[in-house]
Amino acid sequence: MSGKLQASRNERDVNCFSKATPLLHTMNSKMALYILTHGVGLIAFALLTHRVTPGIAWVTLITGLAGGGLCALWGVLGLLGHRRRIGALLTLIPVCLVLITQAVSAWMVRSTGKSESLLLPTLITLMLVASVGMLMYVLHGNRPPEFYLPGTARREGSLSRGKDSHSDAGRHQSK
Amino acid sequence: MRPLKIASVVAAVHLIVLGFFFFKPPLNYFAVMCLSTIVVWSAVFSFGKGRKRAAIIAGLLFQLVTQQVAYHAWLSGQAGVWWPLAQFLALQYVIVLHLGSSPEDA
Repeated sequence: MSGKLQASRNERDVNCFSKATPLLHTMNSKMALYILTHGVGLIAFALLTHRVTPGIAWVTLITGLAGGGLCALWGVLGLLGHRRRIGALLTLIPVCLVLITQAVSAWMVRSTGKSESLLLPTLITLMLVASVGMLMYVLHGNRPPEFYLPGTARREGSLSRGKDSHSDAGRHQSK
Repeated sequence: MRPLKIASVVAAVHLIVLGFFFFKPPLNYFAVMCLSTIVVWSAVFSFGKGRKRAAIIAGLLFQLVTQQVAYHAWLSGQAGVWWPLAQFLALQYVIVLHLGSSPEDA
């Protein structure tokens, strides 16, 4: 009777893990907090660039405010329990793309001598470096090894990991 | 010509975004791509004003060499050749198109 019960429990765990493959794509509270902090920082830097060069860095301002606001939103949602990373990723990729073009433009203007100030290109480059770092952290941070396997192998890996971890747990419980 | 340009930029941005999901670039590779893009294109568009087309081709070739070096250094064991190359070319296309049509460059 107890063997039957154990077998049905194992089967339920396996089913649970095969459905739980999206766990590969979730974030934890620490990552959500980092995303929130990055969003606030991005807004602050965007306002700073607009303050040091009023009327010039409009695209950077809009990108910083929109991207930072969305990052802050994903961070807050992450802290509240919405654990998917895809929103933050799809915000950070265009932010990085726009900031690269803005950084190239800013350094170009600086090197042609139209502007003497190093502050604007430096600020935009700092925003870019922070956003690239955050993008890579959201993309790679806290991923299990199965994430880097191709599709079918990933699902099988996740399943076998689930089996192993739960049989280990069962062993510990029986002890 | 303008609708074609917009459509091509939309396609390029999609390629860039899809690249992140298909081959998951590591930090070193992506950081090198971003920094070399900034350095090379700001130099090309600042100093190559007289011979713009030649400067763009030279910049693209230099970037291609950088991408291949970065690919073989950090990515060759993990991903195929085509997705990184497509993402890289799409990124360069968006940057060059943006800079080529910017008012400072006119």
